[in-house]
Amino acid sequence: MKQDDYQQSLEDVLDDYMASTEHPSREGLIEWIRRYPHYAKELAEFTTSWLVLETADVSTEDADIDEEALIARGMEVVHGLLNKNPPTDQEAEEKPITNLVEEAGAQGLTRVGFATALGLGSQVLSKLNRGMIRATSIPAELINRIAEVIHRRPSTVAAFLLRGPRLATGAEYRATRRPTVADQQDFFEAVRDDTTIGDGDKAFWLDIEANTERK
Amino acid sequence: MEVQPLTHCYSSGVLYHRLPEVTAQIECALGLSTDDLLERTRISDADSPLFVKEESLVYLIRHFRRGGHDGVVGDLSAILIGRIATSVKSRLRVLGRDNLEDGFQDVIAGVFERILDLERDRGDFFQVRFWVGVQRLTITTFNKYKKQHDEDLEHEVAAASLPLDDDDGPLDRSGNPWEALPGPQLLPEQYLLVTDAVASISVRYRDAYILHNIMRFQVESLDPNEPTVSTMLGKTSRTIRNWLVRAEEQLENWQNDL
Repeated sequence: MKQDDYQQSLEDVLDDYMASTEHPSREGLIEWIRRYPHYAKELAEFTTSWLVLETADVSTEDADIDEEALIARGMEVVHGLLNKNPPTDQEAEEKPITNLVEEAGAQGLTRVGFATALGLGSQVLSKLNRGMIRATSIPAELINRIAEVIHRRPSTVAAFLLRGPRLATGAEYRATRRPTVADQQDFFEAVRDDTTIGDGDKAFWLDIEANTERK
Repeated sequence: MEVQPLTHCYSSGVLYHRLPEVTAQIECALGLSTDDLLERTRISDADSPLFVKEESLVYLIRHFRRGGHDGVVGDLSAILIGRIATSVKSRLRVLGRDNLEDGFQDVIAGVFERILDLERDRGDFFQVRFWVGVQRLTITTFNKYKKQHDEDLEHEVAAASLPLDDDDGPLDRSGNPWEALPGPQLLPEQYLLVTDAVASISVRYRDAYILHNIMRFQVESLDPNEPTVSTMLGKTSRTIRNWLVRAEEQLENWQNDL
């Protein structure tokens, strides 16, 4: 049996095994080893781990493990899968983006120059950089523009935008609490609110919104 | 719009079937506008009649992926991940903070690689028993990290030139050495609470310990049809007995550290 077929077959057996009983038991393990003796070792090891996890103490609250951060990491995985292209020999694995404006600076662009290149105002750009724009409202056109300007993959840009709110550096932001997802703004609403964006650029983005709603 | 049938089978060869409730939810969802659909999927109260089950969400993610609507796929995926997060996080806590984050990512990767693989039907099980599938992936991920941890530990032991176990080890005492050592009282065969103590034993010894001391499998047997710890783990009875001694030592150390 090929390795892929073997692994798929084992996964099927383990799925069925778990579905057959609510808790791991001696009788259950014996029965499934009887059915699949060639998976005896895997079934035994799986069962002991199942037992350990099932009975581990989960009563303590995990105040220090940020669930929102876990979800964001999960979404990075999903976006990676959605944008999956076989890497060429020349392509190295991209490091994650930590700051869009700094990435643009590395390309020789000032903050204003970066905003102009994207067709945005500096206010929207600042919100994007701080994760204060709801990622699901950001049009693909903007993600592609950012990627092109800073010479990064769209998937890497998308992963950055999905990370959620971050506190601004310096004196740009003052708050008594950490910003949350609930504080995020819709992209098109942010465009409307931006007093620094040109009329032509504003019309361009709002036209995209209108076309999206018609679909 | 017709709901596409599942094509994967149970290991017994029987075709997977969705629950009628799931099929009905999918049919209803496909008739909604995208905005209305997303609004419904954000309902988190599982008792609500409008709640969209995870099995249905999986179908919808595949449906929109086929249509090239990756924005909607992203939205639905975020909802599904949000539902998974608490459960997976609580189970993988035992790995410690750093490995929990990586382990969580691995579980999500395992789930969505299957869901988003439109070429194959690997994700079908998630449309039938979603939470069982997630739990199974969580357990295999836990196993992987525990094994890696123990392999790293073995390298350290080897580097320190400390004696390992297995057949050549001097630890085997004739008879039943583990009974002569202090350890937890063996409980009747029933569902037992496995404490942090047992969870702290190295994986290679822990499996033998749990199978023998808790699930009451014999180390070896004259009956060739009887599953034993030795046959299940593919090791000689001598090795298993050495592992059991090691496990007891680790338990004793854990107790002394309290």
